[in-house]
Amino acid sequence: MKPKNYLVPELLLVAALLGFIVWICILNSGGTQKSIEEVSAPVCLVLTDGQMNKKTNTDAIKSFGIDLDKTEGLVYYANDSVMDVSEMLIVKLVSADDAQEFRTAIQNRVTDQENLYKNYAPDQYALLEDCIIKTSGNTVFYCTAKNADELYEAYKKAL
Amino acid sequence: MVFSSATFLIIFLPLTMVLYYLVGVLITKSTAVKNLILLVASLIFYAWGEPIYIILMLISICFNFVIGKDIDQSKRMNNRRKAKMLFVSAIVFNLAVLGFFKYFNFLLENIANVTGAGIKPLNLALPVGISFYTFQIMSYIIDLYKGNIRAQRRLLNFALYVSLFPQLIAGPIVKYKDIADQLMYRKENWLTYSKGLNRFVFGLSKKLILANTLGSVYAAVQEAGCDNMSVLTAWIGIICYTLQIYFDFSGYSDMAIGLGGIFGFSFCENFNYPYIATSVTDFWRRWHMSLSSWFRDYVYIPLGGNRCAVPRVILNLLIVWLLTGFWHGASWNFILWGVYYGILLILEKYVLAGLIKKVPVILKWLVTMICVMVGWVLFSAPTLEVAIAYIAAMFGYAVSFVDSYGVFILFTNFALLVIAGLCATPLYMSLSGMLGGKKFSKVMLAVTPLLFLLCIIFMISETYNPFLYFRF
Repeated sequence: MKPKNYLVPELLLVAALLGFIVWICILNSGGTQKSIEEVSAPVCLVLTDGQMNKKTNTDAIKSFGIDLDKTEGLVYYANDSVMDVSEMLIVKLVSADDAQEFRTAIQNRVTDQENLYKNYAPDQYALLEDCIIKTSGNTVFYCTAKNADELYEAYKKAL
Repeated sequence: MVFSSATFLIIFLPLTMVLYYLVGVLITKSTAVKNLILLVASLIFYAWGEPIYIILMLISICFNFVIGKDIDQSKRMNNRRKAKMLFVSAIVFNLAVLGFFKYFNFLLENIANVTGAGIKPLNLALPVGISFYTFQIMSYIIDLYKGNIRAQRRLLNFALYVSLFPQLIAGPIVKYKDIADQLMYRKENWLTYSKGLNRFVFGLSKKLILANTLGSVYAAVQEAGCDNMSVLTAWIGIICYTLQIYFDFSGYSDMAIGLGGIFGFSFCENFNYPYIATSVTDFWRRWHMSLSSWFRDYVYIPLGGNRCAVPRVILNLLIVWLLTGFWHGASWNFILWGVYYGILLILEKYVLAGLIKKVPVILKWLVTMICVMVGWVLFSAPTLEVAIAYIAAMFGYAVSFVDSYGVFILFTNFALLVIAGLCATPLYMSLSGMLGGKKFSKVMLAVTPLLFLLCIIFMISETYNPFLYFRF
């Protein structure tokens, strides 16, 4: 039986790995050396009057169950009304390794909120469905708001 | 996704089990269909939260599958040179993937520290479970090259071996030769299913009830800081962490083994009551057994193992333990932790062997536990400076021997420490022996649902709490 030539698929897969590494490096090049205050200040300017109020780190821990020791800093805004799910969280992490843990914590929060609002506040549920959770290197951005896209654009520029 | 999350317990696992048993076992009765269901479930499990790294895992699976077939073909055609070249290429590929994603940032940071150059870190997240699945893949490649196994002919089976969700992200590290037959043929029955479910619930309760509660005590001690810590507080803190890491990791392994049983697989054990060990050597025969046996089979023995002159054995041991430390993470703490164990094992083997034989068992156990706990300080501390300060506090370089905070946490957690301590011993097995098999099974039939209910209560009341070994 004629031996099969595996060289081409092997080389293609090595090329795929190199391509993936380059792609992921470009994708994560958005990580920032700026402080959390420098990143969040321009984003907060986009918030409309009364849309959300600044919350403490303890509030963020209560809402998301995140480990503060793994962050260099965070900014958390939320609406005080129980009938409004608008909130925004920007976290700068000590290590990008923990990004997934924070994303999962945020996703759990969104799922809990969706379960709460699904049946009696469809407009709020729709906002939760359209929420933005993005990781950029060592920063994580989460926003549920009518102008979430606008806030995310401001965040991207601020990085 | 983590085993102790509502998403896994309420949606993912029941759905996978229903699909597997209904479509795979009852309707089609086909191993290929069962494997396909498990593979799809495993990929969803892995992609949950951070889907991007599934591409890396798939590239790795495909490359190793193809090169595995190539190695096998070269060996069958007696082309040893080509087989060797392919083997080296595969090892380089796997180590390069692991090295880049796990250690490259560490390298950059150290170069920047030494040279003072303003090198920016890459800020890449560590792909979950990369150390575990890369080691599994390497066991396949090494055994294939050594002629211990034949190449897997089906990509589906190989992909399932690498990505099987019960053991994908925190082990046990399953060697291909131990599971190859089960990938082709396995029989599920009520016994394996119920045993698996029991084991899973026990693992879950170890994690949610014991590990997380102990973890919160250690976190509180750490928060207080080393500067104002008394000797008593330092010891209570590290005892809590010692028990936490055991219940966390062995709980995960129990869940993995239990889930494997539910789907008809039999995985190797990963723990054998490590805290009853009476020497450091004994401890490492009982702790993370799948990793120890991996390093023994694929590093220590190929280096010459014990069958060399003493200086060479010492060098082999140091290499293995340096690598074991480094495997756990790209940090000087872990390297030091590995070397620490290397030195302890060398001392036990060549210096203290005679003395150890004469010492009473209880004293041997106590000294072993102290050594292990010092090791856990190195392992858990965020930096080397914190670790040194904590160890100093443990051994008297503290503001006081006893303080009100230490007494407070001792009294408020005394029952927890006693229960956890007892649960870390084979007492459970002794109970099984005392009650007799049938009676014990009946008791367990009642205990397991209660434990599961308790786990759900703990899960609801707790915040997101991943497993400690997820970062490896």
